[in-house]
Amino acid sequence: MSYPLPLIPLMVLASIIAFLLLSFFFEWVERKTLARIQKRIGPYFTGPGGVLQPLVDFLKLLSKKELISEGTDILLYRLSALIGVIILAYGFLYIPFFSTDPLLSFEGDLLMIILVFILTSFSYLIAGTSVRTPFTLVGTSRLIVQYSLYELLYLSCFVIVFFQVGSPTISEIVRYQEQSMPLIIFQPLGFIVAVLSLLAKLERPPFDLPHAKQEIAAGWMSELSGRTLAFIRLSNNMDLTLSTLLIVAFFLGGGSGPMTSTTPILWPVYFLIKALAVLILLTLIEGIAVRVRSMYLPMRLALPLSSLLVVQAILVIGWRMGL
Amino acid sequence: MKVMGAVDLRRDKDSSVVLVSPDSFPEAIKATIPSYPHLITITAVHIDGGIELIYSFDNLRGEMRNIIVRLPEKEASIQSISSYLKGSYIYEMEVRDLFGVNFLGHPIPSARLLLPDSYPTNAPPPLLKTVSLEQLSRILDEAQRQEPPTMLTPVTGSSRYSVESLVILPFGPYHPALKEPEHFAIALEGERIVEAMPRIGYVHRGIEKLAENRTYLQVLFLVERVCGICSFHHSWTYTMAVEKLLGITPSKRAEYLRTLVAELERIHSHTLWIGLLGYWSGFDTMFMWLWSARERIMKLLEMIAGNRVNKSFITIGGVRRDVSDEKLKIILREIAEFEREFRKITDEVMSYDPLIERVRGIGSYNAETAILSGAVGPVLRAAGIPYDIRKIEPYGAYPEISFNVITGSRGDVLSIADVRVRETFESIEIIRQVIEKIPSGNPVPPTFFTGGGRDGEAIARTEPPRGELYYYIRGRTGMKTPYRVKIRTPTLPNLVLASEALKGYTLSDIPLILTMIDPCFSCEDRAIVYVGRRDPFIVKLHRTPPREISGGCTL
Repeated sequence: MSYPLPLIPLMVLASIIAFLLLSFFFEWVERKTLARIQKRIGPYFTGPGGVLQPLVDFLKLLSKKELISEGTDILLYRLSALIGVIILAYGFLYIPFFSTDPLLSFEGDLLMIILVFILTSFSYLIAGTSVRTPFTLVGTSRLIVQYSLYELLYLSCFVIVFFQVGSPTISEIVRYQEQSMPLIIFQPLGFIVAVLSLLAKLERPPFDLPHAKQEIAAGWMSELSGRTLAFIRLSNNMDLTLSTLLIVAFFLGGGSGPMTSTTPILWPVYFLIKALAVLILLTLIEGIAVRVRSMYLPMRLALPLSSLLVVQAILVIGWRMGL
Repeated sequence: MKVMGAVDLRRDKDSSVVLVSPDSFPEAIKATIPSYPHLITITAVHIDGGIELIYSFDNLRGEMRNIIVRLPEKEASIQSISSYLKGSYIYEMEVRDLFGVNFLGHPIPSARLLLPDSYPTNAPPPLLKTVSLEQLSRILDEAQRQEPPTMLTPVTGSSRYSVESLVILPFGPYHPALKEPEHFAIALEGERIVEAMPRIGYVHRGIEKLAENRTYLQVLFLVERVCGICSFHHSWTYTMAVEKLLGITPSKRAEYLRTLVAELERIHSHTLWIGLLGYWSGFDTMFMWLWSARERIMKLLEMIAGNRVNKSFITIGGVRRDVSDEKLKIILREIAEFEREFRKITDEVMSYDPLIERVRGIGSYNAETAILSGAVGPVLRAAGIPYDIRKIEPYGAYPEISFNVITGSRGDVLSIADVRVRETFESIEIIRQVIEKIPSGNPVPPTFFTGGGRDGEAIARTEPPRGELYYYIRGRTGMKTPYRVKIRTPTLPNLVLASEALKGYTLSDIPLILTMIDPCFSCEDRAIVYVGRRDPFIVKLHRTPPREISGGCTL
């Protein structure tokens, strides 16, 4: 399905706005769920059930005075916030959220998504290195270790998806699941690894080492304030949203479900419901998590996860080869 | 009746007091330490044109020995005992700062500890009787106006470490893991701690000096503000010392009510710490659960005393208001509810593997290290030493109540947490017994104490949630104010242990190890400086920025 050319800019704009709203909504769901686990109320006053609180927080941070510490590399500092938000918004256009066909698509756009995530990590990294104070230094070094371990694991899950489907195109992968079954049935291990490494990649508990406040204040984010902090936080939320949506697209069959072929409007609804289920699963893990010690990060968790992934890969390849 | 838990010096011709001359002092100390290994504190008193140092020792079974030595006022100096007892160097630094006594052979010969860095070296030591509050105010005001604010420039000249591999991480004075201002310069090699250099003293309020300028009753409200969590224990210990000094006996009911509030305070403090254990190990859910359970106790305290934090419940000779039988019934009901809730939460979290794995074996120490550092309270008990003032020197209603002293088997964060959980259940049992056995009568004295002191001195010790609290009071006949009030809070000796236990662990463990002692830096506020293993770090610390000073209460 292709769209008429003049409509594309409008639809891109609409998609980006939808993505931003979705990110704020996801943050609210996460905060509210976590609050319920911890016997708190959570966001309450702004909007029905406090649903507008993340948006208000963002706007308020934008209006705050920005303090930039001495010796900051201004170019990198400003660039980091921009790269994160722009690249992620661009990445959303490749997600088949509204129908089986995403807005932008080409042969092999799975690789494009991998590039989007790597550039996002890169934006965090330059935000951390643009200011050289002890907290940011330790935080950034933890960030680099954590990303290089878990970003790789997260993306490797998609490579195994590619092994099974045989196509590096996102819409092909979704269509494959629509015709047979969601890939979680075939690749449960891959799904588990994807969810756990997603937590690590997003620095959510128990993997919140790069900004563990009890140890290194706000870690790599210590010197961020005002607008830059607002955008870095936003890009982290967009990262969460995009990663969750990708897990849904790759493992849970996207928006496919009963009656989607006759009523296409159900597609985004199913998609959203599945994404919320994944998000609540992530939040539950967050709620019961005890932060891992930094020295256990590579051995205790990355090693078993990558072993799981190897087992999954062998199973999938074996199945493909008809064993 | 002799007030239990208080030792009167000299007046009783107590055999626990030894007067020695400066020359025979080292021998007396050497003879004392093997049988009395726990140095409680060094109390200095400026009296009759000289400085009197009182070294208070305990044999860990409740027998005290006080070694008293008199020094001249001008250029007072005495042998340091830190080579025999490691933990004593902090007390010596404190006396050096406040009284100008020079300790020969001290491991840290010149560093400031308690006074701000801007305090002029040629100014008189602040706690001498010849220095007035107004004079102190003026000295500090001028010094801080002149001093330019300089920020931390951590290390100069440390040849042992290559500069590239070493990161000096400032931990505090304002840090999310620390409840109170406190600075640690932490030298990291990768993630591993090589050295930790603490500095306290950011909120030094000079309460001991202020206490000499207020009447006995006013001081009661002053010392209550030493600590926000064990505020009742401070006022109780002070009251105990004053009652001992003046020979006042409170009624039985008052003693029971005091015990009741003290145990409620222990429960809320321990619950707070166990919750914070979750916070420090990155387990926010545990933190939220326990703090919501603690709220029930805070409401009880508010019901009893009218206040949640600074209860102002006690007064010299009794308590300020009675607690009716209906209220006691409510306490029984609520405490049962709390116990159910607390047991449920602690059963769950203390058997939760990720948490256990996170805290087991962290910051380990043995009983010997703990004794030598002078550690007290749950920190010492976790290492297996049953040192609990409530048991070894019973006060309040404790002589008539049966309870166990909780001890652990090894010193680490997990063991301390376990001791605190079990102590909370023990406190609940104590409260039940108190309410069951409480006698009738009027616990409120007819008028507030307005009298003056008399010649003499008194020591009182209690067991707040953090460990042994020590008060020394000296009175003078005809004086409305105490002549000298000396406070030794439990965090000070425990901090020596904590900074010792830090070495070799990783950055992720700092919050857990520093806070396993349940630090209350503002309670003690005294500074210590770390002694390097071979060549000490030269550390330039935060200078206090200039600030406007108003009124006379600046130090």
